[in-house]
Amino acid sequence: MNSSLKKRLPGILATGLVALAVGAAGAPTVTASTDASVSGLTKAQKKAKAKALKKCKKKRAAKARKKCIKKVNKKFAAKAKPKGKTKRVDVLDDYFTPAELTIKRGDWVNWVWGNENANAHNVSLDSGPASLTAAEKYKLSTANAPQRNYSFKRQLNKVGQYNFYCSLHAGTMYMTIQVTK
Amino acid sequence: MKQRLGVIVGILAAFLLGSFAISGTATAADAGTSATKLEKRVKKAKKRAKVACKKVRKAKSKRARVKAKKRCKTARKKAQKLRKKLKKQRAKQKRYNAQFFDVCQRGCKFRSIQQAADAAGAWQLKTKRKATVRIQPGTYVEGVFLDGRNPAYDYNGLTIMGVKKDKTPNPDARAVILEGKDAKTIVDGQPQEAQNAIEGRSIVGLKMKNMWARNYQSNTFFVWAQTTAKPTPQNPNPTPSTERCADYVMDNLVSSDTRSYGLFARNCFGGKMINSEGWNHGDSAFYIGETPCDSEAWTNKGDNPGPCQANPKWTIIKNVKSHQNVLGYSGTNSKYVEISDSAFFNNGAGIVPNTLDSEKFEPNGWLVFKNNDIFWNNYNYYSTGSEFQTVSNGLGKVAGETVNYPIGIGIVLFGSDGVISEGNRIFGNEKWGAMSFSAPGDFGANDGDDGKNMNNVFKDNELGRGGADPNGVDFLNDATGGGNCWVNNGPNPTYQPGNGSMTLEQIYPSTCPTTPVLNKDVSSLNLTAGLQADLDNIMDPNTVLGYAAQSPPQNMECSWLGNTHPPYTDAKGHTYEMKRADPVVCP
Repeated sequence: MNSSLKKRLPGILATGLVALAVGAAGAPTVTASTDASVSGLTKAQKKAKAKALKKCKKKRAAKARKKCIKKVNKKFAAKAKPKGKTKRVDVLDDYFTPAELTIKRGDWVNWVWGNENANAHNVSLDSGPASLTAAEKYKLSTANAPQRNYSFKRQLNKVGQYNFYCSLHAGTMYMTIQVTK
Repeated sequence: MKQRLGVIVGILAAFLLGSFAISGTATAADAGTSATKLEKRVKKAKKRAKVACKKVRKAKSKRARVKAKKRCKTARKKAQKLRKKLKKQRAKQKRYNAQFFDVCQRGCKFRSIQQAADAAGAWQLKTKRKATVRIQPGTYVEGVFLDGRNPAYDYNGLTIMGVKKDKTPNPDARAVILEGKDAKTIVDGQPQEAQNAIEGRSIVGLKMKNMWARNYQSNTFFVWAQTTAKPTPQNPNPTPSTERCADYVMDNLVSSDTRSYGLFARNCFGGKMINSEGWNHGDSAFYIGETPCDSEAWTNKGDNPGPCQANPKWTIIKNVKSHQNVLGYSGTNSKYVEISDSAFFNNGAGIVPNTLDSEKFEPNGWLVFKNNDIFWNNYNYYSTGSEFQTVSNGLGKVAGETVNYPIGIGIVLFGSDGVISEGNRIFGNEKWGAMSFSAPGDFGANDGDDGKNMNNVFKDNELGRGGADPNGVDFLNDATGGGNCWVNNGPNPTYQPGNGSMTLEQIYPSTCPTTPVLNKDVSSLNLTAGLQADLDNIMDPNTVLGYAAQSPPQNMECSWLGNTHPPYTDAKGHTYEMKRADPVVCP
């Protein structure tokens, strides 16, 4: 019995280590999804959140750790006050209104789908400031194509011109947003 | 102590993980290894049988021969038995190789279609093989969204289908219900109100079979891909889209009770909608939107316009039933669609391809409608007692008049180029059996004057069931465009005559094919014939504009014949029941 355990022990330890490493690597990805710079938290709130997250990370069980992080994120998300003003854009059949908009850096745009819409629409970013990363571009477009009872809110943090369109009604649905300093 | 306990727990977890991993792969692998072992045994048995049977010939005495014969027979029998066993084993292995992801309400690995489809997508990405999501009978309250752009999944070629409890394909589509009431769709990790039953973005070869989806906010089965933006003054060089939707299959699906469409494809290169049924849609039960062209700059204008697609990928709509919808079939700027062997009845209008500015690649055209039953499309959903409501807020203003979707018509060609309607049975449509007209740019109906009524063919259609169930008038053509023809339709086709300033032969040429006309050579306007519009009597219901501009719209019914319709049984023996809203009290 002892000898067989000895034989198996290195394998077991290796598997255990791999499992632990996977668990440890998984943790930062969870926290990474909550971007504090975008959240609009005050300094004190940020500090409290970091402290709470640190506590969470100390938890040994991955499940409990994830649960704790989720709880903290939820708690602080509710208190977040978005910086910047919010401008509304209506998504209707088959146009955006207003079709041209000028906002300041850090302002938000809230696209609101009309409840009377007969067609599905989306918001697709065709082009924006050169410094936009692929991930930022991805986040500035809706994934699916809703028809009604839907809104899509995004903060524009980089100065320049953003060209949006509905990729289902590319014949008529375009809009441009100028973001200034 | 605590540290030791942690190590022990870690080891135990590792053990469990390891054992799970081993047991997970065991099923498929076992079948494989036992098959190879059997193969060896079969080979050995064959050899033995051969050797034993050789001995029969070599045997010198009678007794030895009899003995050898017996041995040969037994060896052969054994070999045969093993061969049979091997065959069975191989079939079993094949079953293992086709990977299935089972969904049911109890006892399956997955309880939601989204979870199973995501697992299948991840598996396909990993193995480069094709998976099937099998949904067992039950009601699933959810919306499924498959994002083909997501690098974590490969949904191309994925099959999602309803099965029986024994996991074989279920021909009864109504056994697996996707319910849209109170359903949610998870998009980017966030739950949203479910707009569609299954929405597939940028996927090639997605197959959906044997399901019934109902009560969704927008549509039921929806596949699409992003199209490239049009150049605008603000954005003269748009980024080309890399998304692709093609070769989808929608087979044996039932769709009902949505605000807009049922089976819906947009910006896709070819696909199939077959053996399906749809009713109670605020727009159409079957919709093909914006067929993409090889070049972004394609147009049917100019001196020598080329085809939209050099090697067209056709969309096949076959053996479908569409009834009690605003439109049976609709296709904005759709091309290369063949609709055959189907029934369009009890709708507001039956088959309605159309040209609109809102989508790219205008106009619609190069369509074939053949061997369909197109009848009783007299459902006045503008009236009281309608079981469904139109989602449309009207078609806007044309020549200053508010126009609505017309009703009481079998086939409506709205700004179509090169549509062939052949061998259809068109009857009992109380306004017109088939109509064709332009979307005149001068009336504000189309920017760029893309929707011209040209090169359309109506031939060999059976009209009015031999007089038993006539259409109001069989044909209306607004005398715009050109290159259209009407031949061998009958018996005794009737034509909307206009004001008499043009002969019927001029409006409805009876020689097919006529020389195709070019967009640049024909006009979308004709105020001479008195069929497009009558400027002296703008509300004349026998003109295209006057009829669509009837106010209130339910009064379109007031110019119908109001004839009765005898029951109809089709060639397959199916008997149809007529349905309509409350009759309108006309002024």
